[in-house]
Amino acid sequence: MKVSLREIHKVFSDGTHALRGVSLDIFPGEVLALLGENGAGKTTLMKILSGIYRPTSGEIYVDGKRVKPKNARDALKLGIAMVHQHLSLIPGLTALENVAVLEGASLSQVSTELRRRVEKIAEELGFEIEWDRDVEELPLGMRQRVEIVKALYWGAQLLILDEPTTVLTPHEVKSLFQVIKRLKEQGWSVVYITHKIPEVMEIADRVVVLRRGLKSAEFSPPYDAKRLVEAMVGEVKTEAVEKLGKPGERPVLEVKDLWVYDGDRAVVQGVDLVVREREILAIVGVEGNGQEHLVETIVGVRKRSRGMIKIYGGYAYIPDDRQKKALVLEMSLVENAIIGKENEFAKRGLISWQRAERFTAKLIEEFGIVAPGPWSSVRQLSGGNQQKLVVGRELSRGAKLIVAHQPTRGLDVATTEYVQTLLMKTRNAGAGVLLVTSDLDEAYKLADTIAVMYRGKIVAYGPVEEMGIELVGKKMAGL
Amino acid sequence: MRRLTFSLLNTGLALFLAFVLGAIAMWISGYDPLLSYKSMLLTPLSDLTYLFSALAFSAPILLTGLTFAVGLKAGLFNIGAEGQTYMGALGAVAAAYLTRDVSALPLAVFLGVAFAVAWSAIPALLKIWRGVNEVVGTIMMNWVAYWLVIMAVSTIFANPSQPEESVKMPEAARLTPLVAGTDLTLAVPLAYLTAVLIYVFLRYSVWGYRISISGQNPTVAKAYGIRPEQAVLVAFGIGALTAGLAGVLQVAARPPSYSLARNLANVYGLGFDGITAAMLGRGHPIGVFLASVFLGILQEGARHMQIEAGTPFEFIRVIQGLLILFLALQMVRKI
Repeated sequence: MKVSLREIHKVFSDGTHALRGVSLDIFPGEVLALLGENGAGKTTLMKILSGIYRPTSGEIYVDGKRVKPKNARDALKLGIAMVHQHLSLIPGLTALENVAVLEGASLSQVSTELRRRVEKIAEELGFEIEWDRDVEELPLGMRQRVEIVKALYWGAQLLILDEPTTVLTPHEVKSLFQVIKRLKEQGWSVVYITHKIPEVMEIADRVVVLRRGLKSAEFSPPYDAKRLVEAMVGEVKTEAVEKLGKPGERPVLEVKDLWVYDGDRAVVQGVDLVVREREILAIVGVEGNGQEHLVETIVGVRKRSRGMIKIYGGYAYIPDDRQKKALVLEMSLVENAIIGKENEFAKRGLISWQRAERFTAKLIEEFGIVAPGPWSSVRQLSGGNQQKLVVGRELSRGAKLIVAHQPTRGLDVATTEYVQTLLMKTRNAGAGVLLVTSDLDEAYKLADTIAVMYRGKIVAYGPVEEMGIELVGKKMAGL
Repeated sequence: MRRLTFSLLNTGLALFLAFVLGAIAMWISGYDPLLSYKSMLLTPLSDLTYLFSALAFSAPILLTGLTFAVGLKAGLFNIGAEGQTYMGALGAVAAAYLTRDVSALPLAVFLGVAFAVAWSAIPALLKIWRGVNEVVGTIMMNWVAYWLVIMAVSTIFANPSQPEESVKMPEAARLTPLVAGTDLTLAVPLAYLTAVLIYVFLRYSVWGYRISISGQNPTVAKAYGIRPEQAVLVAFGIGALTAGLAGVLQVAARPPSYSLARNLANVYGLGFDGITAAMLGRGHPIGVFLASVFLGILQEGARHMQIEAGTPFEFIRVIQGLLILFLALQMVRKI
């Protein structure tokens, strides 16, 4: 099946011009990587192909015939299926029921015929899936496989994978790549959306790079990593983040034997850690191993069940989800800039918005935030600028401890680099940083000390020099 | 700016639809919609006495509207103004019962506001400690207040010479009309001043800011040291102040009776009119002010409609109900 996209434009209702005329062909039996930074339009383009969005203008052809998929089911009838970054299975249903649900609502049992065929597809791909468990109980990697089987069962010939490796352990990534190769051999086409260059180099037959809603380049093997990056970001700024001096002695954070429960599940189990001055402690691990509970207990959002937390000299907090945990989207930059320090701008209980505005203007300038103005709502900012506002606000607290949870998630290359530089500068100036990340590159780039978290426990802990990537990868997978 | 224009348009649309459907209802029932609306909306503006009467109606609606508006800011659906107004009125009646000179006035304000605040503390604490939804808590307290106040007015605070109402405010402690022969008392400027104070509180005070943050996103508030439970308490408390004041003024500043009717007629429904005003005014103190004046005009106009067009008084309730419906529909759509 050959799919062609012609001059696709997409303008969202808030005025964002996400795609500015992209044309693209996808051939049978190829793995096409769609490379680009966050916000480049990759996902939008593929959501248009899979019927979730409608293009503002432009045409889609399948085997030369013009099609207009109105929804995901329509697209699936044409043989196009998308596996989303945030998987879209229905919790409360078993894996098998999630496949069967496309047949329509029914109270009867899933037919044995369907089960047989589903299991056969899984077997051919080398998947071991517990079909009768609630999908919520399955690890993310397995859920992803359920989605793939579901797509194939319903006749997909073109499979779109949106950032499929974000939720996977290194081991699972390897097996995903094997699956993609097998699919290709059997004649399926795969579109692989990513911003990770090593992945592209490993599995793509062809790479299309999107930048700011336009196709900026197209490559075929052998790839040159540097040129891929250039096509993606326009220019490469490699201002190395320099680590100055050794960690000090005085602690800024001490955690002893910390236990946190979520319901009756122990999600943090006896964690001990210390962050000292001029030290970045990176806690790495696959998401969902208790990091979120650990961080939120340290900053006081959650209650601990047992254990001790001591913070010396105040803390700043950069949460993992800026839109839900750090910013009030409907409010202005000014109102967001003073959260947690509103008292500093108040006299006799009344806030001076003039002073708050001056402070915000300073943040905007110092951290290069692109915004229509200090009083425009934060929702209008791009993700990267929202994060700069959060990081700027937090670093300006002058706290001794910085708790940074996935501080660069979803940011483009340049902003990632910038945020990392800021964290390093803060460390060099004497603060301690608790960096919780699932991005190993980031951890190795910044950390003085690395700790691996697995199922609520710290399973490895040591100076970065002693923590080889091999060991860390193994520990992250629970081996 | 775009958002403001948009919301004004939506409010306008809701008003328009409510009036159109109201007109259809009148027409089907055999009344003249045009004459009805003319007498309802224009007659109150044609004479200073009528206009002052409309403003007098607007004052308590504004105060209870502020209760709901402050609640909305904190992310609460606080519909307890109704019961808190009863309690405020009860406080004023108790003061009238206890002292018979000018000191009844400050005592009335003190007792009325204290009763109202105590009344709002129960649903507030239930919400904070036990997670009881504030809608359930406040409705419950509204009904308890309703029967409690009726009982008090029928027994200890009953007026021996006029059994259908409570003891009257002592003459020295009454807020009498500023312009003789009208209903315009100090209650009106007091209510408007309160709206300005609430505006300043929400816009400039540290606590107003904290209420907004935790109302919009409690997770963010918690992460940066603002305790949403405290914001809930403060919002409930401030709301009770204004609702309680409404109740006090309905006794101390409402000619000619200066008492509380045994069937609560002079306080009944004020809390719910306040919700209409707050929704119509988009939860902004200035908006609530404009909306309460509008509703005051409707109230006053309803009498003239009944006299001039022969259209029953109840039709303004129909229009208000439709208005709430259309405003609520927009809120639902937003969610």
